[in-house]
Amino acid sequence: MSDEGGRPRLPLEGLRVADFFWLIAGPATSRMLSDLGAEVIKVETITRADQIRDEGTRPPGAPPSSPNAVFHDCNTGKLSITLNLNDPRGVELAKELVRRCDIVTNNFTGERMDRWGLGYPDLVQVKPDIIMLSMPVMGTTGPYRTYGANGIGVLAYGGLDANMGFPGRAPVGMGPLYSDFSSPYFAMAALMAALHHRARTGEGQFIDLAQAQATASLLGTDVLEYTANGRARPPEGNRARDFAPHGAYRCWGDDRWIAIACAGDEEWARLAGAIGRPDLARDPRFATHAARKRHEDALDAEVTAWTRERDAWQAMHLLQAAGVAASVVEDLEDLVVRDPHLPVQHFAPVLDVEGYATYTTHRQPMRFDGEVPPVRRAPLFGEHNEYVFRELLGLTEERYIELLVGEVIY
Amino acid sequence: MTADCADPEPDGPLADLRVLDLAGEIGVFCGRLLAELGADVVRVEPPGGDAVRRRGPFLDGEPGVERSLYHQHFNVNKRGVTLDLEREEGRALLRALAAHADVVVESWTPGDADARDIGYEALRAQHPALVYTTITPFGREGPMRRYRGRDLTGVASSGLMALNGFPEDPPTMPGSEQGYHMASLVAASATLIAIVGRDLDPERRGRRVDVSMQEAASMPTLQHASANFYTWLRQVPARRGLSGLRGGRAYFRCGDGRWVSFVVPPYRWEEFLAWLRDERIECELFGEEWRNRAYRVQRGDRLAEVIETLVQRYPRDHIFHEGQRRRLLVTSTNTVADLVDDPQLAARDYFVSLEHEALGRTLRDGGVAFALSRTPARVWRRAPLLGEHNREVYGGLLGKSEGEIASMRKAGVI
Repeated sequence: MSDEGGRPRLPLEGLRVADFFWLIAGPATSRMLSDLGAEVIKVETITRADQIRDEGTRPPGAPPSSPNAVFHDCNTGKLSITLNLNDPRGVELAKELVRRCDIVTNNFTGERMDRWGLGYPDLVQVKPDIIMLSMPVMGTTGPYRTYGANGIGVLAYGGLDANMGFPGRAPVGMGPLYSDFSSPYFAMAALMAALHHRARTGEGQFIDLAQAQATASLLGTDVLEYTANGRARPPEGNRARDFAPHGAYRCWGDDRWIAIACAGDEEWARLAGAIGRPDLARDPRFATHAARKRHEDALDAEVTAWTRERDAWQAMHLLQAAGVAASVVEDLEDLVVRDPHLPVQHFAPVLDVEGYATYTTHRQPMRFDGEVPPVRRAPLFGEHNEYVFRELLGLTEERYIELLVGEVIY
Repeated sequence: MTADCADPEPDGPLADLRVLDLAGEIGVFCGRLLAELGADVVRVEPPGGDAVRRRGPFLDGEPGVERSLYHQHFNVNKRGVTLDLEREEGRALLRALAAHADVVVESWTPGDADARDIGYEALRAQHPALVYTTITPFGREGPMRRYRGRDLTGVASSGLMALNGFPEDPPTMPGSEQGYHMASLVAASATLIAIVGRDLDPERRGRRVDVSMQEAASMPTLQHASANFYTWLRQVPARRGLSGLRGGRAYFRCGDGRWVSFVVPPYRWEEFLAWLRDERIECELFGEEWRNRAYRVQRGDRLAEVIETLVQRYPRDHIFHEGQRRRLLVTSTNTVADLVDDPQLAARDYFVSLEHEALGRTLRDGGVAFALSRTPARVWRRAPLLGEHNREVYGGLLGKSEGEIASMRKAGVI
């Protein structure tokens, strides 16, 4: 699908978003809109800049105007404006912007948007079919709606820390801030569904997404198992009830591992053959799934005896050639350099505006008609003030300068 | 409080869409998400039932195609039909069904569907508006495209597993199949992006959507471990147990043995000191040098000791609410048992109860992640029995007569 110039038409071209998100989970959501073709206008102000600008690793040698890696990863392709919402003229301009938008986003805890006069009831007055997404940690309703957390707390609250790890150990906690990058896809599904409803009926609506609740909804069968069978799934480390062998097995080298997930007798026989031990498949300790589960320590020892002499990548290719589900436990260097697919297919180098720094950022993990949406650099702070306030909102030059001087466009 | 599930009429935002759900475990949650949003999701299984029904846990621990809680959880709201794709009559039936669908979701090994003339090209030829979503372990292209994958290989190949666990343990997998969940979640988003793209397109063209579990599950990895740690600094983040982002401990055991996550954000240092003061905890943290954030970051172990002293004085729930009252980032580290009694989730009607008359049980489960004000997403119907909607779908939708349906059943096609 392409326009007359032959450039593939991105799915969300034609949509415009007033983006009041900050930190990570929110901006990662609107980044998706931007990567997929929507015009996303990020609203900040000097006195209330996105706090994530202060976090994370910075490009070596680049001037302070170059954003850090996390900010860049979460804000590619967006337009940036500065607008002081503590000034009533700023709120009026924000409403003028919303009048020209399809979607408004925010992830403030509490009623900040309402206090500015930019809550959903205010915005439907300006744009009756607006779709507003609010995604604070606990949502906009319920007794804990004003409670705050970062990604660590969302994971803990949502149950994804307590349900992993080895028996008898402290809750290990998910290392990465998993909820910050799972919540955006829930938000995206909700936004797209609302847009579809609007396309059919002309009606907008308000979306209330609690990141903690979205995280709890990733617990799979754990809740039902507890309520129906009266017993919570015990921590299993790297084991899983329907599989054996199943785990991370040490390979040759320093802290190198391969993950192997094997189900059923036939796949197990292939695995045993691939590691040069077809006898293991006939060993009564390992002959059936139930037997393998009973002797899982011994089973893991047999598999490890093979893996620890081998390079993890070699082991993966050998096992896959035999039809066994296996993967290197990839670290960041593997993802960016060694993986046969990701370094070119999933990562893109993006040059900052002044050419000082190259950001290696991920693309969206989705292809449309075989194409990955392209990635454009993140904006400088306030880079698009002139376009948005002059062209889009139609302010005269005189008025624009007056608002700049008056610390409204600020 | 439990959401009312008596109303059988779907009124979600996708109520006009029909989805054929052919996906295995990697993609079964995708169909559930679309079904929560009101789409008519028709789950297509082989006549004996699919692999999802053979996954545990099972109700009361007893296996059976209707007793899999995996099936009961991931297939709510869907209708179910059976169809033998090993036979040409079955494949013809699938092509006929696809002509009535807006979306097909499948997770076959790349190339296999095309070889059997039920892949994207075959289905699009009859139906250009079709959105066709493929979910695979390593993507539809590239040297690993035909490699086998399970949840574990998804969390391993995406870098997610390498970041989890204590240094003395092996890299540790997340609970509850997060590789499958991320693959399905991204696939549901991408599918709906394609639907909106179709709505915005004057010619209403569908698209082919391709999601790789490896890429999908790498998204959470890449927040913690931005690719630039490596490209700029040659740093490779590793698993650090109870630590938070910058190495400071994030999890603490309270006086009652339960756990909290406890983060003092840089802009709440004074609030944290006030709590220590109120608790009469004497320590050097009141010193001027501790006001410097960089100084604190370098002394994370000492800060953790002091937090530990504080939290050990009280049960978890006190620390949680008192920490929040003082505007620190403190939350309980909830277990499933905690969550089913959680007042916040209850107030938001998160949990649902579904009557399952064939099992003679009411199944109480987690519901929908978010609330839409005008067209709510809901969980309103139990998962289908094997072939439960064969007559409804093949008769109602495709116009097959009772006799035709009976002979298809007899021949083992359905």
